[in-house]
Amino acid sequence: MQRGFLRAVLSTLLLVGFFVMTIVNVWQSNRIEKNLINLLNRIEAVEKALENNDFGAISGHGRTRGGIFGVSEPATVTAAMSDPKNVFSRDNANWLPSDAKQGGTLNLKMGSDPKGFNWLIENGADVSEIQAYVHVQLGNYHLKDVTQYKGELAYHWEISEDKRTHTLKLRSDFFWHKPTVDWASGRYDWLEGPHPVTAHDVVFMLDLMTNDQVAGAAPLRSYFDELESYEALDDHTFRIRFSTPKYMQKVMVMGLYPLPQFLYANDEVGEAYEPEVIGKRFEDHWYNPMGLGAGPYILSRYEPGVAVELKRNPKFPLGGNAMDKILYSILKDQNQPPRKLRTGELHLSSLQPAQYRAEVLEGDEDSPFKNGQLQGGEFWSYNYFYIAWNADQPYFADKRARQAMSHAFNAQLLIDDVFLGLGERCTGPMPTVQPYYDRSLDPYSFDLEKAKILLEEAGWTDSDGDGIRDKLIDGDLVAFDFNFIVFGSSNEYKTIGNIYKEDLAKIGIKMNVSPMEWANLLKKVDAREFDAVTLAWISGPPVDFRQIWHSSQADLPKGSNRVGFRNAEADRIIEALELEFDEAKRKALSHEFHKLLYDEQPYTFFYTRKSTVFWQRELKNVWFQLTRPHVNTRPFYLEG
Amino acid sequence: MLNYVIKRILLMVPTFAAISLVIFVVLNFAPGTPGAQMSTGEAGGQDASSAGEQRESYRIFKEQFNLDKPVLVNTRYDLGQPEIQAELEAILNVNGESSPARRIQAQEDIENWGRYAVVGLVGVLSDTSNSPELRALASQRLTFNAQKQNKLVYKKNLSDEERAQVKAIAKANAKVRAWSFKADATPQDMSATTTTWNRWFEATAADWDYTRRERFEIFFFDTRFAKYWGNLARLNFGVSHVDKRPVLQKVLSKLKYSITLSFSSVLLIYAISLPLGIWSSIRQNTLADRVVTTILFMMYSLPSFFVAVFLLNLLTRGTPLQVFPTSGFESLDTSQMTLLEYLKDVGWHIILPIFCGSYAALAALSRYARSGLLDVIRSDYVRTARAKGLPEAVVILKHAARNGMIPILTLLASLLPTLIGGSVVIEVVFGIPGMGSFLFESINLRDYNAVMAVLLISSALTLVGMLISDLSYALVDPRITFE
Repeated sequence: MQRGFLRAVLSTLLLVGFFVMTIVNVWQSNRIEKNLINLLNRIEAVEKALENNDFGAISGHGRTRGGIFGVSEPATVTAAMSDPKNVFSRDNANWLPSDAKQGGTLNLKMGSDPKGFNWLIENGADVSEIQAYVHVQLGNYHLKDVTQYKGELAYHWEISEDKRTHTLKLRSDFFWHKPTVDWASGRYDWLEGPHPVTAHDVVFMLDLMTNDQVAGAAPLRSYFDELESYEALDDHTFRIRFSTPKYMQKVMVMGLYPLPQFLYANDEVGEAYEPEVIGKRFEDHWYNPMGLGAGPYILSRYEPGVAVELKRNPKFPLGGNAMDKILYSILKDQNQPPRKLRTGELHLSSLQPAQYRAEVLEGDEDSPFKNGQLQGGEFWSYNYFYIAWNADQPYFADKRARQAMSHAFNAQLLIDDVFLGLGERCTGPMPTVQPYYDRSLDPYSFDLEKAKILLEEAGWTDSDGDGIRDKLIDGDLVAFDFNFIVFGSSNEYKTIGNIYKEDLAKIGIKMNVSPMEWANLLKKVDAREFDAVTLAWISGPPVDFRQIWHSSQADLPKGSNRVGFRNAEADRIIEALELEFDEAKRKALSHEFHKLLYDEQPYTFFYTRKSTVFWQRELKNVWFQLTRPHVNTRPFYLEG
Repeated sequence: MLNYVIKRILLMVPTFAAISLVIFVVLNFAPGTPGAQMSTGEAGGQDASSAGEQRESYRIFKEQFNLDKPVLVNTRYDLGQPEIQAELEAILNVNGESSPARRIQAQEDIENWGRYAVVGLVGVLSDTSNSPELRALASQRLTFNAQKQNKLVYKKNLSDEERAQVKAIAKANAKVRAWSFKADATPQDMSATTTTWNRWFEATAADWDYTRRERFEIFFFDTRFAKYWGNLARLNFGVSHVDKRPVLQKVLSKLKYSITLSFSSVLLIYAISLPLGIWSSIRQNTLADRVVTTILFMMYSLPSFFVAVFLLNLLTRGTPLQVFPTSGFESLDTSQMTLLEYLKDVGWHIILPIFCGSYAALAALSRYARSGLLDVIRSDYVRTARAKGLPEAVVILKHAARNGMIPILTLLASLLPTLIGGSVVIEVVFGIPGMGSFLFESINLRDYNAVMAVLLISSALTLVGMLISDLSYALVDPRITFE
């Protein structure tokens, strides 16, 4: 009895002792770990400082260490600005105001996992957005005027008299970022820099783009059909020639960018790929999960499903990078962004129309969306929504019938009520924000009487008295009873369908709304198995109508001229536009085309949507770009 | 026992093969195609600049992933001139009757038939009674279809011999690519090109004359299913259609999230429902038992996506309470955390997901525990134990519960696949990049290889789990043997 008791006491004491020791142990190691992290941070800071100094010594001009406003311009660049032959001109708009502050981490969101950051083969919107921060192009549009160009990597751009030869001079103060690899392992020492960005890197990009094995570059390749030759005249001069000059070539040349040859031409241990397989090797290159650029931010971390992290490039010559870090959280559930705006976890996010309604139009007065904690704004992107009428169907072969459909469509009401006023009525085949959009044309009025008259003129009458108009076509009495395909995952589209259906019923037309899932919808549209469908086109600033409107595209399987629009006059304008370089004449031609389609109404042009964005109060100088990505945060800075 | 295990394992092989066949067939015949752009931009928007001109890249994509092959059996060695001519005429819409859908299909067919169409194409081309348009199209198609697939380029680390082979194929393909003419070409050009093709055709005659053995091999082995299984047999799940990364690597990177989540919820479920079940079986049919049962079944019937969103809006948004983080498995930047801080951070993030993932299972499991115990609580040996004068707690916990919990224990083994599989709803709503959301996205993107890999892994685990569950019966209950 006595011994048993003693044993019990002893073992209890021992257990308690172990327990206490474990706690002390954990606490101790936690403290050590903390110190270690601090130490590592300090070493990193020292390393960074050293690296920047080193860089100044190597490149011979320490000026490139300039802050968020960039460095003073090299004399050659200044001289080039006054050369009348130079296509680039000085952009007087600045990214940042002179009192902008540097520093801080900007928290943004991304709605999907980027598939990788090989700029040439990935064309997703998410990858393009990151590319805009991490990389540079030869040139770009002016910040506030998309009809003019400014230099980025290139500073001088000369187009020959016959418009076939483009010669560009590149700046010599751009350097490739340091690749994000496990440097400590020693396996990647062969990547050690610094590597200047040269004309050879642009040539390397074109080599890969024209390489058949690089399937991902095929969409881009189609713009270079007339490509004749390209070469690097020296390290910083690049020349490209086309067999026939076309206007879009100008835009494509401006959008060219270099690719780091020192990285992509080699496998993981630094051995060069054989030329026979380099295309395929490039498509699944070992560095593709990451991306390398020479832009204002460095891609420093990517965890699929979690985050993309960008760090400020302190050596970027053009500035416009106030934030030390941009941290994208990947939020695939669309309900997350408004939640995270409320908690302050996101600095900025756009809202979907339904969220805009819930949070802003119908939200509580004291919610952050209303009480001033969050600021709101909007931007226009290059898009227009439309209803396409399949002209190969009997109902819409006659333009008067199509005009009648437009008169029966209560577009303004739908924009105001269904789309919450977040858009502008559009009258022709380009977004209303297009510089060459013709504002002199009035939208088709909502006028059922007029629609009736037009239908009568087109021969659609109710001859059998069943309340639905009909017409004798090739001996058969065809009733005006058609299918309207809408994108089924969107409630707004279904509402449009239902309201339109009621209005059409009033003028004796029967419309059946069929909502469809995206893949199915595209299949139907590609196969032309539709009467009418509502969709949207998204484009860029330059006008190029061939793909959607030229008659040569009307019979192409899966072609984009899905309504079968064939019009000799339209073809003439499209072809003339392709060859016209003079901006004033381009504008005149665009207006002419706009008027023609306004009259023909192959589509009922609906509206151009604007997007709403909300951001935290401490984010300053928020304004949006005219080109994609519209929410480019380079002008923004964090206060305090 | 050993015999039984071996027998079961052998039986697993055909079962697994049958499962994989079913999954494969369903997946491949489901509507939608991989690689076709699934993203809608903004609702209903299409990019005007890249809507067309994707054909060639799509063809290469199909070739790389064997999507140009038939799913189960291949009879394309029999394709002759009539079939090819019919398809070409459909593309050109010669008789004015082929609908756009038919033309798209015809184009796709000719593309997918690849080298098998060469015989017919050469036939159409050489047949001078055909219209120039048809012959021109045949010559243009030949420049693609006659190219040899250069599959070696997907392989890493080529030997010198293979390198030479790649070079030879690339050279031969480049040669072939040049031999086409347009419909308005001169008759001389046409006949010259036709002669070139015929000469080439004769030189490569051995390629087109399929022996009986070759036909057999093509019939069974030049198919998607055979190719997939060929890779799978070498434990190669292939690469993702989406980002060309190895699928297995992607799956492994998701395990950390799913295992943490499901392991903790299984632990939680058992920790709560076992005592609860025992408690309510002792108090069978009392008011307390009924109340608990009702509450549990109410929880059981609440859908978890609703509860998840409700809790998120209530406890994370800041009005009225802001207790938990809004989403994710851990904070965005964990590089500055010590291990303890990291564990705390993860714990804080996964409390809500674990709750949402487990509350519904409480009802089922505690009912199992309750009925399991009720089964034994009135048996003779329990009465004997009571008669011996043992305290009630010892009777229940030591004598009754041990036997009553057998079904519960064996249920544990069948949870093996869910441990890995994750939960789609919870992971998507809480933004946790685990297996569930991975499967969900892969299905949306029609990433066949990824979907196959996830489903096959979890069906293999289901089979193993069932075996373990059967064996554990024998282990815990001496009355059951497999002899």
